This record gives sequence, C-alpha cells and structure tokens, in this order.
Amino acid sequence: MTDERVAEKGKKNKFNFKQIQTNLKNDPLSWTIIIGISLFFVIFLIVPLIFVLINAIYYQGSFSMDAVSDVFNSKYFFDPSASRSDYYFRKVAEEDTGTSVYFIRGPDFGVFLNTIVIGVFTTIVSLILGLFTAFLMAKVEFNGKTILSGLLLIPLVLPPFVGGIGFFAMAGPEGILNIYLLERYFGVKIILEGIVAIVLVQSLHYFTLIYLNVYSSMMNTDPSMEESAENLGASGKKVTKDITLPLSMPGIASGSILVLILALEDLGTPIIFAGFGDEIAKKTMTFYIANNLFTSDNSSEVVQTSAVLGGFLLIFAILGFMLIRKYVSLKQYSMVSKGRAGEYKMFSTNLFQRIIIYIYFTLIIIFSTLPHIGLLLRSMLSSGSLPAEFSGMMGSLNLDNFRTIFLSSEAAGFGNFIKNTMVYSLIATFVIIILATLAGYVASRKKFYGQSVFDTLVTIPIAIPGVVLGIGYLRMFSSAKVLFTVGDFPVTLNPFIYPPILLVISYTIRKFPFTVRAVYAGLQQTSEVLEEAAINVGASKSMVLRQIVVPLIAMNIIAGSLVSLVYTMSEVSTTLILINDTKYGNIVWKLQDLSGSIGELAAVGAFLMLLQAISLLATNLLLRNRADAMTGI
Amino acid sequence: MTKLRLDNINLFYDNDFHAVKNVSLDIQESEILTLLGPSGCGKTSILRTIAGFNKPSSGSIILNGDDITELPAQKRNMGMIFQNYALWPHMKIKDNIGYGLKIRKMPKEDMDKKISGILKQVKLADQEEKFPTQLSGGQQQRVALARAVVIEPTVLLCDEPLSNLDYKLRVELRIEIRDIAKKLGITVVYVTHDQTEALAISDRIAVINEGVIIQIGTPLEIYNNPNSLFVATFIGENNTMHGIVREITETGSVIELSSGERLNAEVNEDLVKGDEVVLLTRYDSVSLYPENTVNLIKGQIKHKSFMGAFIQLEVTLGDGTSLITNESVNIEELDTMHEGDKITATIKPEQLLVFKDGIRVR
Repeated sequence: MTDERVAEKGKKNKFNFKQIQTNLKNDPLSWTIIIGISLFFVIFLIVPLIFVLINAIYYQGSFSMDAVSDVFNSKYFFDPSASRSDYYFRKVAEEDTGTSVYFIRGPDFGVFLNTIVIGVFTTIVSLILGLFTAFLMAKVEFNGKTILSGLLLIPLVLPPFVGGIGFFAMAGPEGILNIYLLERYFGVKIILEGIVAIVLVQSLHYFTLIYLNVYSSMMNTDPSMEESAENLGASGKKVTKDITLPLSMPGIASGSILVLILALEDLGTPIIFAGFGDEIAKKTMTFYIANNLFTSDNSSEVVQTSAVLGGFLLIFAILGFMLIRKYVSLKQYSMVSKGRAGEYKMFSTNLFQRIIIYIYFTLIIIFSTLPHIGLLLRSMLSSGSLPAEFSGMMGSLNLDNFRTIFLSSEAAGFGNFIKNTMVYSLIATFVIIILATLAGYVASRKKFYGQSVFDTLVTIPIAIPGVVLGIGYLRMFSSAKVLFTVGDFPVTLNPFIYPPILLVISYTIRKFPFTVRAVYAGLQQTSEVLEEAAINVGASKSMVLRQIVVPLIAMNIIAGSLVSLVYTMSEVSTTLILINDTKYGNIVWKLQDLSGSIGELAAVGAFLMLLQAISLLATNLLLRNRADAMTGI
Repeated sequence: MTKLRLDNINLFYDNDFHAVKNVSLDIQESEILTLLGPSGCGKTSILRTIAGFNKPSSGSIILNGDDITELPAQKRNMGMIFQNYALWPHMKIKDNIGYGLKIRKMPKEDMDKKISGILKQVKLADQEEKFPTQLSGGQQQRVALARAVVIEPTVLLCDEPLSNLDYKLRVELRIEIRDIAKKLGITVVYVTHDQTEALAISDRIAVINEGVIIQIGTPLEIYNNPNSLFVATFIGENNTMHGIVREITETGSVIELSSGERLNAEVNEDLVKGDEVVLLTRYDSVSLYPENTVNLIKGQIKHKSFMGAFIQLEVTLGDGTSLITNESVNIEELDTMHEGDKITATIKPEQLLVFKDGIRVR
C-alpha cells in the first residue's frame, strides 16, 4: 500500500452532514446496505433491549428503583451470608448396601449471586484448563498433537440439554461412573449438585474456547520475540513468564471474557439439573427469567423481577464485550513480522514429563467428552435405568431409539421437530449469508460516519443474553397484529399467534456475528485493488460485489454461515421463550421436555450433535483452525 | 490537442493531510506523461484522482473537453495497471482480459478475437486458459496491461506498474508498454519514483514534490535544465558543492568554494556579492584532463572503481568535499592512476549549475 493509501485508511471520520449527502448520492448501494441493516438491528436488537431496561425500572405508570432494591433485599435472590456447610465434600448418608454417599453441591447464595459465582468460577476453572492446554499444545514437545487438536474440539459440538443428559448418564447419582466404578470397587457414590455441578459441566465445555484463543495468540506471536529474550540470557521459564504469557494476554483476556458471558447467560445446563430435581439449579438468573416470564397465565405483561435480572445480565455482557473489543485491537501488537524463517521454540520433555502430559490429556479428554459418551450410550439404551452389570449394559445397546424417532409411526412427532429445526435454521442462515456479506463488505470497504457503531451493532449480539432478548421480544411484539395472511400462514411478529417469523429473526440477529466476522476477515485478506481494477474497466458496484468480491471470499462466507447454522440449530433461549405451541416446536424445544423417553431424547440429541459435528468439521477444513471464526471473537 | 486537463486540483485526506496542491496539467492526445517523485509526494493521489478513486476537494478534471470530475470511476473508460497486477485469482487469463469487454456487452465472437489479438501483442498467445497464479510476475503484468488496453481506454493509467519486477524485466516491459501505447495511440499517465524509468518511457515528465508540480518538461529538458535544486538532485547523479559569490561579471560570476578554489559560472541573474549558493555538476561533467586553465580544482584520489565502460573516481577536495567523476579511459591510463595520487580536475563553466535558495540561477 502506498503512503497515500495509508493516509486514506488512517483518516478519522468527522461529522460532516454535507459529506454524508454527497456520499449517499455517489454510492447509493452502500448506503442502502448500511441504513437497511442498521434499521434491522435497531428494531430487532436495540429497541427490545431498551424495553427490558425500561421494564426493570418502570412499573404501573411510574419510574422507580424498587424492583432493583427488592432483588437485593430478598434472601431468595441475594444471600451473601448463606451457610457454607454444604460447600465441601460431605458424607451425608449411608445406604443399606453399605455404600457411603457423598454430596458435592456448594452453598446457595440466592438467584443473583449464584449466577455470578457460577460465572466467575467457571471462568477461573476454564482459564486454568485452557491456558495449561494451550501452553502444552503450542510450546511443549510431545507426540500426538494432531490427534489431540481434533479431540479437543469435541466439547464445542454439544447440543444444549442433551449434554446434561449425557453428563447424568455418566456422572449422575445412578450414572455409569458411580454404579460401575465407584460403588462397585470403592463402596462410595459421589453426587454432584448445585453450583459446583454447573461449574464443572460448564468448565469442561467452555475451556476449549480459552484454549483456542490462547493457542492462536501463541502461534501468531513472532518467534523472534522469544528468541531475542533468550539471546539476552533469559531462561526458558523466564521467557514464558516475561514474553510468551504477556504477549498472549489478548487471547487469554478475550477467551476468558467470552467464557464469562456464556456462563452467565447459559440456560441449558441449569434447566437440565433442575429437571433432574436439583433445587439450587433452579436458583440461577436465566432459569428464573425463563420460568417467570408473565405476571399471570393469561397476561403478556413481563414479570418485573425478570426484567431487572435480565437488565443486569445485559449490562454484564455488554461491559464484557467492550473489554473483548479493546483487547482484540491489541492483538496486532504481538504479530510484528510474519513470514520470517525460523521455527517456534519448544520445550523438550523427558520421559517422566511426557507421561504426566499424556495422563493430563487422557483425563481432560475423558472428562470433557463425558457428556458425549454418555449421550451416545443413552441414545442406544432402551430401558429407563442402567442394568446392574456393565456387560449387561453393553449387551443391551441397540438402535431402537433412532428407529423410533426416524422410522416408526410415532416418528410423526419427532419428524415435525426435526423439520422445524431445519426450516427455521436454514431460512435464518440464508438471510444471514446475504445480510452478513453485505454488512461485512461495507464495514471493511467503506469509511462512513458511525462506522464503529455499525461494527458494534452487527457483532454485539454474540454477547447479548438470549433470555434478555427473548423478554424484549415478548414486551415489544406480544400485541402485534396480523399484517396479512399468505395461504394458511399469518404474517405477524406476534409470537403468540405465529412464532416462526420472529424466531427466524431472532436466530438471524443472534447468530449474525459468526458470518459477518468471517466475511470481514476474508475481505481484510483480499486486496481492494482487485475491486478497483473491475471498477476501472467499467463494472458497477453491484457487479463488483457479485463477480469479484463474493467469489473471492466464498470460502469465508460458507465457513462463517456453517458456524451460524450450527448455532442456530442449538439456540436455546429465544426458542424456549418464543415457542408456545408444540406445532411450532423444534428439536431444542423438544429436548427440554424430560417427561418423555430419555432414550429417544438422547437419540435426537445425538442426531443434532452429528449435524453440528459435520458442519464444524467442514468449517474447520475451510478456515484451517482459525480460532476466531470458531468462537466468534 | 489536449486530451486530459487537470485544473487546479486540490486533494485533502480526512486527517487534513493536503496531498495534492493546486495541480494543473495538460496532457496531449497520444502523449506519455510521467508523474515522477519520491514516495509520499502525491503522485499516486493524482493518478487515483484521474481514475475517479479519489474525489478532489476542489478543481476539475476535463477529458476531451467534458468535465468528468463528478463522473463515477466505472464510467470513465480509463484503463489502469496496478503495482501488484490486481489480477482476479478466480478468473482465467482470458476472463480477466475479457471482463471489461463483457461489461461493454461485446458479442462473444468479437471478444475472443480481441482477446487473442491483444494476447499476441503482449507475447502471451496460448496462455488464455491459465489462471493468474500459473504465470510469472512479468507475465502477470503483461496480462494486466492487456486487460487495461483491450477496452480501448481514453487514457491508460499506470501506477508504478514495474516496481515489483526485477531490473531486466523492468527494462524490457517499459519498452513494451511504450511500444504498445504508441502503436495504439493511447494517452498514458504513468506514475513512478524511478527516474531512469521516467526518462526512458516518457514524452514529458512532471516532477512532483510534497503535492506540488515542481517542473514539467521533456526528459531532456528535465535532465539538462532542472529549474530547482530538488529536480536537479532527484534526476541524474550530481556532485554538490557549497560556495560564496565573490564577483559579478558581465557574463557571469565568480564563486569561491569552501575548499578555497574560485570557479567561474556563466550565470549571474539576481546574484549579489556574498550570496551563499549551491553548485551542482553531473558526474560526467567533471574532467581530469584539463584542456584549459579555468576552473581548476585540486584534490586527491580517494577511491577508484572500475565500472565496465568507464571508471569512477572519487576525489577529495581540500576541505574534505567529495567530487565524483566518470572517466572513459584505456587500460594504460587506468594503470597510471592510484588511490592517494594528487590530481587536478576541471569543470566547464557552462556545466556548472548554480542554485540560490533552492532555485536555479540563470
């Protein structure tokens, strides 16, 4: 790039109304895109969120902070002095068989604090596991990294709810570990409950996000940074402490904050633990909101406490998101000169150290894939409980559940859920592909007033808790009218009349960032000169977009939209809040219902897991392990 | 006939950087005009303004008598060659070249004929089915040239098209670009920072510094008759000496160098006694074989370098100033000269360029 172009790129946007008018006249296509997409996000993201915030402090005609202070004055919501006697590994009962039963559950700090404690501890545990794993993978020499790097991605592929089912099948009170291992050989049972169990399940799922971010930070660091420290006499440990870790800070920070946001807004895990009778799991913010939406059965008025809790979740998430953005912008710092000759320095290991490393990875992969293994086993067991003998269990594995959901006459029910999942997700992904390509294009190629606002608008949904958006939609659209009808379908945004339209919009908004980021990344790697060359020979803006830009970044668009597709298929919060009729239910909506056959649920979950695995595998092949596209940071 | 006129063009970037300052320029039909200057001088900004990629903050661009300042880039029908070729990697060579023709809705038969014709001209016949990555850098730039000229552009714009190529290819391709442009009668605006390239390819050169056109002229005029110290030092290889005007005569002036020698120059306009001036001579204007007795300078040979066709001597003057001279010599003479030898050099008064405050004294 010539100096002039650098000057052009680096220029600041000043407010100049006349300039905007000229721009609009000169480039109507870009401006239509910017204004259209901004409006879409304002109507379906910003306004609903404002509704929630107002709902939290405005009640029956006047503003008041009463609802907020009520939360902090009620022990149900806020109980920092809760008894910690349950906090420890505690023997509570002895069964007739002579088995000692231990509970690990943690105290109950009330709805508000439980969620905060879960979020913080999940982040800490994920950070320790993720950082250590990334360090071993990036900086330590041992064999088998290729296989490990694949296995470590498995936790990412876990549909909601069924992860809990799988976890219970393995580590639950009557799970495989308790029955076939602990009780049989050690005469004990360990029952995980409450916030400890939720932290454990979340950490084993989310540590992967930190691992991917830190790993990519470490691999992108110029090796000469470490070499020059070594050259000045720093030992291996000192280099790690003074150079490697500080330079990986952006990855560490952004990974951690993403995990914190996801842990705070997680609804799937509490619902499953609550479903299996865990009372503390019911006392989390997301569970409370999802179960206390309306003031009465026939009302569309949202419970104010839910709005207050939603407001807090929203504020935490947005603050976290802004921090991520700040750190990601620092990321450039560590990537000074690429494409130099030289290898990444690795710590060599002796036999003893290698044994420790393999034990660590064996344990972490076993524990992080417990839900997956449990889910697969559960989907192949017809009976409600496990047989007494392990060999008996292995003998009774069959595909009956899959036959039921796909082939038998009962399949009608599941068929409809699978069909709905496909329809909602594919339509949403189709809309995402079009809008995100356009948005990514203007964000990377145009300079306009409010560019950073536009940028934030299209990427922030990743941080917005789904339950909060769900409440906002209910507040905003629950009295919407039917605009017109097409055949049997009423065209309306009112979720009580016909939820699919609003649902597809919510999927589009929530999973938009994954594609827009992939498109943006693709455009950053593609020289703008290629577009200018086309304009120069006479191509119009839309021709450039269709014939030059889209073909050049097709891989990024496909990869990004596959990630969006995976996440729309497993979206929980707005799905549960907006769908209120079996007719419109999809797989996720069906999975929360534990009253039916757990085996069949597990089979549907396993099917969803397969779809996700295929999509993510394809993405991975297309983008070659790019952590930012996988995790959306 | 004037083909393209830039009338008082100013360009500010949004950070208030004034990249192009009051640039006015007339480019004639079928002329090759080069914008020459150091990097960051604004030459590419001017070119991109002509192409329509930059909107000038003020001023106008007139093409064939029509004001095209507000015309969008895609409607200007100007071909452009970019420094990094900018070939579309997802299209075959023939599709890259044919893209502009397709936009102009040319029938396929005519298009194929035109593509194979232009490919022959740029010496790439039978490469049309390949993709850009299968070609070398030089071949890629030939494709870019073909793509730009095949649309029969009103003006061909070249943005440092040869900078990414090695020396031999640069020499070869600049001749080809000139040949093709002349054969097709295309008007060319060519941007480069390489003075040799500019001298070789251009009908006229505009030397630019800090967004301002310093001098416009034919290569010969620019080389032999620079109007300022900037142009003189930017073009060609020069010796620089500092001195003070001691006498004004009817036909010129006498200038005392800081090394003590007095030199006669054939200029005196606006000079007064005591003026501090800068003296410039081309390397080939310094001679070691004084035929006359004026403008003698004493020095000592510091370095002797054999350059093939000539030898280059670096001579140190009394005050430490270096004077470089290119001498064509035969082997015997070469052997008589040694580093450390004391010698006398001479510069003809008419070959001494004098600058006061950066402006050429006439």
